[in-house]
Amino acid sequence: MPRRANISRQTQSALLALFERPQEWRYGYELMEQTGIASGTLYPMLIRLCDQGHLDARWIPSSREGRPPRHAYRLTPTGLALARSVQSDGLPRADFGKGLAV
Amino acid sequence: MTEKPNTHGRRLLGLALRIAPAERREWFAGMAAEFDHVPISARGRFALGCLLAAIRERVISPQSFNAAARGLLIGGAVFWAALNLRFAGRMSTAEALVPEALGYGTALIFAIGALATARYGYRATIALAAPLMAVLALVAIFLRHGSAQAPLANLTIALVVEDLVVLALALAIAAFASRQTRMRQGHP
Repeated sequence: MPRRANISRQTQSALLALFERPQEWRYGYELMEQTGIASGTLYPMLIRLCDQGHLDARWIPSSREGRPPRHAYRLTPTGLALARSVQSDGLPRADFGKGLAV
Repeated sequence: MTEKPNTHGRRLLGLALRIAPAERREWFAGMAAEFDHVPISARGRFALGCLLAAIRERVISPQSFNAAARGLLIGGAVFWAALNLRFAGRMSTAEALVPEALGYGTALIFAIGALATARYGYRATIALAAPLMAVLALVAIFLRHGSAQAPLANLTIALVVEDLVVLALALAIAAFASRQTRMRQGHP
């Protein structure tokens, strides 16, 4: 069972956003838009989740010609279990409204 | 007009890439790549967030923590050595041989401690401070309960106790920093 202690509401939001389409690789800005979490908060959070083994990160070639590859993220099996436990506890759903702050 | 936030944003991102610790460079390269996919109106805030994230990662990185803790130990040891040299110089004019010798001895030991910590890290601090504390504690007990009360014995005891407190502090900082560094590097 993944460790659940001290998960912030924003981390829960990010986990639930990633859990919506667990098989897909998701991009940082897409997650920012979906959760309303700013880049200055979201990326350190993704780094921590990756360090803890809950998140995979990889480079994906851009679909647009001439654009650099993008860094994308997906939950690992332990991340999926963690997101499932967050969801089953009825803890805050991701605030899918917009309004990004720094 | 639309180019302005883009340019500023790229500068902020470049700064973030320079500030970010080496082990996180890939993440910040990922943020820089993502920048091209952010709407122009939101790029400034996005880049500012990346810069804040870089500063945060730099501050909490094991290397920064290690450098700060080592700097504190080395700076503290040099400062304490300098204070003891000054004290020993004053005692030499007062012809108080024992406190003078203790002052010079302490300054020398702390200077060696500073050099050893700079060269070998926390292990050197711990390896030097722990036995030295035991020796100083024995000296303090001997001076306090020794049969022949030497002149200026109370001053000498006070100096030894001061050194014990400073060494205990250094030992605590070194032990804490060593443990934290191991944890931050992923070694329990």
